[in-house]
Amino acid sequence: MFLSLAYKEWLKTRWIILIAAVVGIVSALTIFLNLGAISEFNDANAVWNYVIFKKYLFYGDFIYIPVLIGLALGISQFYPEVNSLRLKLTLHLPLKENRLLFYMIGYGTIIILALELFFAILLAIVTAHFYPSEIVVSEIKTILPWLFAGFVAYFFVAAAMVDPLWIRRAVLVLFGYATTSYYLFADGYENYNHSLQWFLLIAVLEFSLIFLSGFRFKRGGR
Amino acid sequence: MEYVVEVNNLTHYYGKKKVYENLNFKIKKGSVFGLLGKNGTGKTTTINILNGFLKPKSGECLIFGEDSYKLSPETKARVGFLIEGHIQYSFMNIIQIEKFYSQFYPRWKKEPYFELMSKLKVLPNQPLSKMSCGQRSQVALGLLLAQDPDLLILDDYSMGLDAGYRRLFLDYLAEYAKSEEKTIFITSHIIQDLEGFLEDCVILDYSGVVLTMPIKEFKRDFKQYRFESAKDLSFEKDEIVENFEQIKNMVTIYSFKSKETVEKYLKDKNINFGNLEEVPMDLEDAFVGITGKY
Repeated sequence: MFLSLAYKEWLKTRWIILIAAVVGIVSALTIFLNLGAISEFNDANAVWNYVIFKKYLFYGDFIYIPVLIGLALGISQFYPEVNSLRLKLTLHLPLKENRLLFYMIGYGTIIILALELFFAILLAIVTAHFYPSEIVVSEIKTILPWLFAGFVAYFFVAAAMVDPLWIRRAVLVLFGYATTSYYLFADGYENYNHSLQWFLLIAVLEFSLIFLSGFRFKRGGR
Repeated sequence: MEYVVEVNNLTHYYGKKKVYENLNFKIKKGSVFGLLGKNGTGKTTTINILNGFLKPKSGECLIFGEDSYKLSPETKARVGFLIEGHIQYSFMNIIQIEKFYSQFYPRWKKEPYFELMSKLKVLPNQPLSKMSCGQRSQVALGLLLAQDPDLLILDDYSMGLDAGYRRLFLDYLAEYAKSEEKTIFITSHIIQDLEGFLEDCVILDYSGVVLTMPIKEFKRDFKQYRFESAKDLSFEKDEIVENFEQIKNMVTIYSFKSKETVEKYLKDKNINFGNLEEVPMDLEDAFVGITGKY
């Protein structure tokens, strides 16, 4: 059953996934070329000074990519469902409604996880080409909240789209915006190390938002 | 008697606006049941409650003995559901959508689906979003037939369809219902198409339930009488008069009573009338007669 539902979700989201993968590759390539240029035109001391002492985030442009992917995936997955109330077709399938929603949101979570893993590996490879492993590890720790933000944005947009009432949708969007913003500060390396577990916990808890919206949809908000 | 659907004292409000109170009907196994009413009288509300997409304020709605709001997956598999406007997954093509649905239903029969699809002039890779409303209706119908449900719930199958597609839709449904003792629950705003198809019906009006009875009885017993009167008349709905209208000096009364009874009724009220006659009606005339034109 999960594979059948995943097939439907794949048909809706395949172009977004492809575009996201291309954006990730282009972004990694841009960082690679920038670092190449910096290394080419500066001596080693200057590069070290920029990266370590001036805390120049050479991968800072990557910050919004996970969020944009979460938003795009959520919209591409759930807009066709709520448009003309097609979600009724999905929820009428012979499975428990919560299980159906779990499979749908589970599909999106797996896709975001896969894309972000792919991006993180690309960034690590690019960084490892120019810097020692300590910088790579630091980079991964720094971008972790940004990666979590992709999930947060996805969970909020999915819940907002499934909710039957516009007022609740607006509230979910506002909360989603505020919550996601907390994950997206870029003022240095590893500034969130002390609270990574809390960021992760909040992101995981937001997985359940769609079940509340699904309950309200089924109960008949419109 | 085995009932597939049982609606008991169903009451629903949107805020303070009453949709209906104490709606009651039962649908026998193997019957074709129509829920008729003008726009805004609660047909889609009832369909939503039947499918578990709306919790009623009070009362109960049972499908195969289960509360419709909490249907088990096994019961959902026995219910085919057509959304108003033949809505389906428009991002899929006819091959993809069959492949998708077939994995969910143990009794899936792909032959009737592909038989219908072979008659459509669509490309295998053409998404549903690029099909006409009539073509989409055939896809939706084919999927319902392939699912092989015991109960079909069809919310305004006629919406957006021309006469040919409407006829085609009903012909397939009639064949399906007849051959396998399936139960059909249908709503439509085009009443004349359903003549000869429905067995039982509920008629809704803005005030609630107007009538619950077998179609044959309704058509046999519900009468339209016309007479001439020089005065402007007014009738309250009572045990004789179900509805009335007057255009200039021509008065029409709708009633379940015989011509003699109506004649006596008019005389008892000291109404001067002439040329009282019974006017034959088809189902649509009868529907308009009992619900009114406005």
